[in-house]
Amino acid sequence: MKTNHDDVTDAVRRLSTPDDDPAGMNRRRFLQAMAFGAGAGAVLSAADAMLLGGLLPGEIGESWGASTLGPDDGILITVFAFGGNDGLNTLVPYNDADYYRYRGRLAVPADQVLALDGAVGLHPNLRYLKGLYDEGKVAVVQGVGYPSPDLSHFNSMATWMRGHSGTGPPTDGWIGRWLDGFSDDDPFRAVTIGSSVPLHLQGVRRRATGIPDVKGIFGAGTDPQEVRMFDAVREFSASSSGYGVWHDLWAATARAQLQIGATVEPLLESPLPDGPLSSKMVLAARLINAGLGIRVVDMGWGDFDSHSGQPSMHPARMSEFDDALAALFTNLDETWRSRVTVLFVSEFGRTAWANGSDGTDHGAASVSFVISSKAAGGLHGQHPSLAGKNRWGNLDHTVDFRSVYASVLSSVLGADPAPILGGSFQGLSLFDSVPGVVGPSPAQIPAVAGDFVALSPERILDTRSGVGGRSTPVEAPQQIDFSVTGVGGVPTSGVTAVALNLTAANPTAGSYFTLWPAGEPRPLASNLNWRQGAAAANLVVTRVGAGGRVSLWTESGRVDAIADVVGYFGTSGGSRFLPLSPVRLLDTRSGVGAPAAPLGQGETIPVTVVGVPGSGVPATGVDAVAINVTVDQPTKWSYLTVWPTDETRPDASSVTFDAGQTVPNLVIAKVGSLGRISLYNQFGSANVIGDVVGCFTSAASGRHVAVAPTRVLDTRDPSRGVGRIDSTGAALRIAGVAGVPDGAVAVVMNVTVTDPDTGSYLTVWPTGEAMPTVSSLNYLARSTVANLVIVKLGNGSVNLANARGSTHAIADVVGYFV
Amino acid sequence: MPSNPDDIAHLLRRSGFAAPADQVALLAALDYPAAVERVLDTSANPAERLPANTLTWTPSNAYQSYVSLVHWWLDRCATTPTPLVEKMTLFWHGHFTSSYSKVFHIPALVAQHRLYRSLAVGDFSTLAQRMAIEPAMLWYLDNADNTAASPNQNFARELMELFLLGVGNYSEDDVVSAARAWTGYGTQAWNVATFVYRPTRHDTGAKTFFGTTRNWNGPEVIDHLLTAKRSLVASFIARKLWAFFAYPNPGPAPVDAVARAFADSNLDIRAALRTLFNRPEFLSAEAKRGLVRSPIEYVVATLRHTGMRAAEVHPEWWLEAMGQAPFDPPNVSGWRPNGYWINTSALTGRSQFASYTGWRLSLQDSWWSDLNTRTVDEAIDLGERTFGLVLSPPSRAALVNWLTRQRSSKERWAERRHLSTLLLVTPEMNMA
Repeated sequence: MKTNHDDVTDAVRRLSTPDDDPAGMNRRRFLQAMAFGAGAGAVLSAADAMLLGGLLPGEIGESWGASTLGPDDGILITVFAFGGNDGLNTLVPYNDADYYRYRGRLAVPADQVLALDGAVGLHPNLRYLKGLYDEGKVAVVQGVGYPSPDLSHFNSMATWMRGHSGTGPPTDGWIGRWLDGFSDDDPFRAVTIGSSVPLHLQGVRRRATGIPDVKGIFGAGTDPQEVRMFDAVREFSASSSGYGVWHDLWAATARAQLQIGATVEPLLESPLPDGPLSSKMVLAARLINAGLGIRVVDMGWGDFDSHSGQPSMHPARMSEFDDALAALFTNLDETWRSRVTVLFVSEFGRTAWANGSDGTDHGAASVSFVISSKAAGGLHGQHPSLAGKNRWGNLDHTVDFRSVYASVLSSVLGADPAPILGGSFQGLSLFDSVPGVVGPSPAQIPAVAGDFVALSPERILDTRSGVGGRSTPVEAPQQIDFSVTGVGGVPTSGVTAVALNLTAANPTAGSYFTLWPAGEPRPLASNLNWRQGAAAANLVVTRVGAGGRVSLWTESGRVDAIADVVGYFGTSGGSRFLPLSPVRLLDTRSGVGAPAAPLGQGETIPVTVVGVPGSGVPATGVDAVAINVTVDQPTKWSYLTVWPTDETRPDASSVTFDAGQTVPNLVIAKVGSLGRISLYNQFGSANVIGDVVGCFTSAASGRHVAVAPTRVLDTRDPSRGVGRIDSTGAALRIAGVAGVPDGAVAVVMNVTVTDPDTGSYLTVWPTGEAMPTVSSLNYLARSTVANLVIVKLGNGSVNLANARGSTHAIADVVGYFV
Repeated sequence: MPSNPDDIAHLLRRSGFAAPADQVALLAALDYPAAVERVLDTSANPAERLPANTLTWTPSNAYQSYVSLVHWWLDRCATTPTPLVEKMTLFWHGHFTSSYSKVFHIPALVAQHRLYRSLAVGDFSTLAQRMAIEPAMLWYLDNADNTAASPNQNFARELMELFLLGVGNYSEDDVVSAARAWTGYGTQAWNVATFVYRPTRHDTGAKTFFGTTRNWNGPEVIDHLLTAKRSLVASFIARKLWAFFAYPNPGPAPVDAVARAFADSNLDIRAALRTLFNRPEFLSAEAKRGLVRSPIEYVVATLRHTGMRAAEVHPEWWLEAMGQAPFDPPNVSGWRPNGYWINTSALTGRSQFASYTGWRLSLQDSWWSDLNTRTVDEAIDLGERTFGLVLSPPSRAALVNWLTRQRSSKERWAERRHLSTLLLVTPEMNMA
C-alpha cells in the first residue's frame, strides 16, 4: 500500500523499531522501561559462529567495546532531519528574484543571510556552522536528490536509508551493509542514540546498537539488591550446564549484556542538555571520548514537515542544529575531534513556492552538509535552478545522494562504496584528507591482515580466449600482468590478497609459473610446476600489486595461463579462518560423503561440508571451506569445477588432471545451500577425495597475512639439516621463523616435491596430533609437483611424512593466519 | 501404557508454548502416540473474539489497534486449550509473511491472521491459494501493483523462492511468467482491504511456465506447483516444520518422512505434524536441546505460567528489542531460529521484560505468598515448578547462592520480585 502524504512520525516509526507508548506513559518513563533499545552486534551468524567456534561460557564480553581505532579510521555522525528540510531556506539563493517571488513572506531576507558567496548563504540561525565554514571545515552539497523522487515520507526515507536502488521492501540500509562487512561482533562499532534502530543502520547480518539517553539499563544498577541479581546472572555461566550449546551461549551472552549496560550507564551520569538534538550530540561526544572504538553514531530529529507554520518551525530547527554542532565540538576531546565527520541529510526538500497556509509542501532536491576538519570546505554541486517553476514544481537534483555517501564511505569509513551502494557514484571530493589523523596524511600503510570474502569461482584470465585482455599464450621467458581487483567480484580497494586457482594448459615444455604482486621484483619461487604437454593447476594466494595487478612469469616453453578467482582477503570485513586437523569428508572410492562410485562425465555431486559430525566444521556461519581435493585414477584428461551448491556452475576449473594421474589441489570453496559444495567432472570418470583443512567463518579469529615467500624447508640443501622425507617424517618449525608470529594458528605454504623415488603422497599435519589419513600432495616417481597447503599449526609446527619411499621436498611459506 | 513425562513436557512445549505440570501429568498417563493425537485434536479451538478496534481501519490510531491485536493474540496463545493452532498460526505468519511496517492496515493483517488460524493444521493447498489473494499479501509483496502494463515480480518470485519451492528449483523465466500470470489481482482501493480481480489488468498473452505455454492465471500457477512439484513443496515445508518444532539443519531421514506423510496425505498439514511428533528424532537429546524460545514463545510461556495477561506486562514494549515484533517480521523471509535471538541487545529486551514482570507479580499478594517461610531450596523448588523448569546445576547454584545472600541482607521484601525476575532470565526459561 502506498500513500503519498503519510504522517512523518508514522514514516519514521515504520522505518524503525516501534517505540510508541500505547498506554499513555510519557516518553521518558517509556524509555526508562525500554532502556536499551534494539540491536547490538550480530543478528544471526556471529552468534551461531561464536557458539561453534568453541566459545566457552565466561569467555565472551570482557573484550567487547575495546576495539581500537586504526590511525586512519574516521568517525561518522549521521544526522537525519525527519520530515523534509526546506533546502531553500537552509542554503538561501539570496540573489534569485524567483526565490523571493515564490516564497513571499516565507523567504529569508537577503540582508539576514550568512552569505557564502554572491549567490547563496546560510540561514541566519546557522552562525556556528558559518564559523566552521569560514575555517574550511564544511562541504556544502547543493541540489542533493535522486531520480524520479517519490514524495512520500516513507518511500523517500526508505530510499535515503536504503542507499541503493533495489526494489521490493526495504530491509537493510547503507551503514548496515557497511557493518555486514566486518567479521567480528563489536556492538559499539555503530550505535544509534535512541530506543530504535532505523533502517540505514540495519544490515543483512548485523545492525547498530541502540543507546538510550536515559539512565537505568539492566546490568548497570549499583543498588546491592540489583548487584546481587547481576551476580546471579553471571553465575549462570559459571560452568557448563550440560544442557547443550544454546543454553551455554545464552548464559554467556547474558553475562555480556550486563557488561554493555555497565559500560553505557556511566556516560549518562551527568545531565545532558535540554535541546532535542544537543542532548544526543553531547551523548555522542561522550561515547566517542570514552574510546569504545565507535565508528558511527546516528541520530535524528524533527519535525521538519512544514506544511504550515513554517516561519516559527524552520528557524527553530536551524537553531537546534547549530546549537547541537556547537555542543558536539565543545564536548569532544581534542584526541577525537579531528576524526569526526558530521553528515546532515533529510529525505527531501520542499516546494519552491509557498503554499497558501504559511508553509511549503513535499519537494525534491535539498542541501546536505559534510562537516569535518578534513572536509574540502566550500560549495559542491550546483544549486538547483528556480526558473520557471509552477506551484507544484520541484527542484531538480544536481547531485545524487549516493555520491555523498560514496565520498563519506571511502574517506571516513574506509570502505569501497560500490558494493554497498550497488554501483559507482563518483564526482564528489568532499574531503581534503583522511579524517583519522591530525596533520598531513602519512604515506599509505599497507594493510597486512585481511578477512576473507569467498566468491563463486570466476575466470579472470584465459590466454586462450582473451579473458583478462590477452589471447596469446605466455611465451618464455616472459612476464605478463593482469588485473585481479575490480574483476570477478573482487573490489577495487581494501584488498590485501587474492586467492586464485592458476592453471597451465597446453605447455610445450616442462616449466613453472611464478606469480607475484605487480611492480615488485620477481621472487625466486614457483607456484605451479608441469611436465611438457600436461596441464596442471594450483591454488595461489598472493598480495595485490600496483594498480590492482599481479605479474605472471614462466621460464621455458609456451603455455596458456588461466586464472579463476575464488576469493579475496581484505580490510572491509569478511570471514576468518578456523584451521582444522585435516579430515576426509569425501572419498568416492569408499562412499565417504558421496556414493561409492567414480564421478562420471558431466556429472555433479553435492558434498555436505559443514556440520559433519567430528569434522570440526561448524554447522552454521561457514562461508567457505579450504579443502584439498585429490583426483584418483581419472580415465581421461579432464578438470573438476567446485562451486557453491545451487548456484550456476561457473566456467572455471578447480583441479586439472591427465588420464591416470593422481592429482591433488587445494580448493577454497564457497559454501552453497544447505552447507554443500558441488563438484563437477567434465570428461571421463574419476574418483575424488576431499580433505578439509579449515573453514572460513565469522566466528574464527584467523586473519590472513601474506608474506614474501620464505623457504623453510629444502631437503636438497644439506646445510639445512633435513634430509629426504620418508615415512618417519620430519617436523618443521613455522612460528617464530619466516616472519610468522608466535600467535599464528595456521600457515599457508607452497610445498613442492621433487625427485621422489616412487609414486607416493605427502601428508602435512599439525605437530602433536596423530597423522591423519589424508594427502596433501600426490606424485609419481621422479616427478616434480607443487601444491599449496594450508595447515593448522600444532605448537607452532607442522609435520610432514611421505607414505612410501623417500622424496625431496621444498616448502615456501607465503602467508599465515593469526 | 504411560509415557515418559520428559517426552510429554517436550511435546507440550514444542507443539504449544509451555508444559504446565497438570498438563504433563494428564498426557503422561497415555501412551505417547495417543498423547500426540490429543495435541493434534484441535476441535476445542475457541471462537475468535477480536477487539473492535482491530476490525476497522483508523489510521490515526493504527498503533493502538496494533497493540490491541498483539495483546489479544498473546493472551489467546497463553490460554487456549489448543495451543497447536496458535503455534501453527505463528508458523504460517513467519512463512507467508506480511508486515505491519509495510501494510500498515490492521484489519488486513487481522484477516490474514484469521486465515492462517483457520487453516493452521488444515489443507495446505487451500491455504496457499487463499494466502495469495489476501489483501495484506497483495500489498506486502506488491501484487496489487502488478499489472499487464507494469508487471511486478515481487510476489511471483517469493512464491517460488520462499513460500513453496526454495531457491534453485525454478528459472528466471518461470518468475517472469508467474508474475505475468498474477497480473490483475488487486484490492478494491489502496486502502480498502477487499480482493478484486480486474481482467483489464491481466496479461492474457501466452506465458511459458515450467515448460508449458498458455495463458496462465495466478491460481493456476499455484495449482501447478502444488501438483507437478508436489514432492519439492512437501520437502520444502517439511524441512521448515522440522526446524520450527525440533531443530534446524536436520538430516534427511526425518525430513523425508514428514515430507512423505505430507505429500501422501494430499498436503494435509495435520498429517505432516503427526509424523513429525512421532519421529524418534523428535524425542532425541538433539531435539530437546535444539531450540531457543523465540520472543513470542517466551512471552506466551511467561503469561501461561504466571497467569498474567498481556495488558498487565506490556510485552509490546520489549518484543521489538527482543527481535520479534508480532505482525512485523523484519523481511519477507520471516524470522530465523536460535542464534538470531541471542545477542546482547535482544537479551536486554528480555531482561527488561523480566524485571517489569517480576515487579508486576510482586504487586499481587497471592503471588508466592509463603515464599519467606520456605527454606532456600524449597523456595527455588517452588520457582522451578511455577515456571515449568528443570534447572541446570550452575543455574540452581546461582539461585541458591543468590537467595542465601539475599536473605542474609534482611531485605526479605524483595525476594518474590527478584526470584521471579531471575527465573525469567535463566537460560532454562529461554530454551524452547
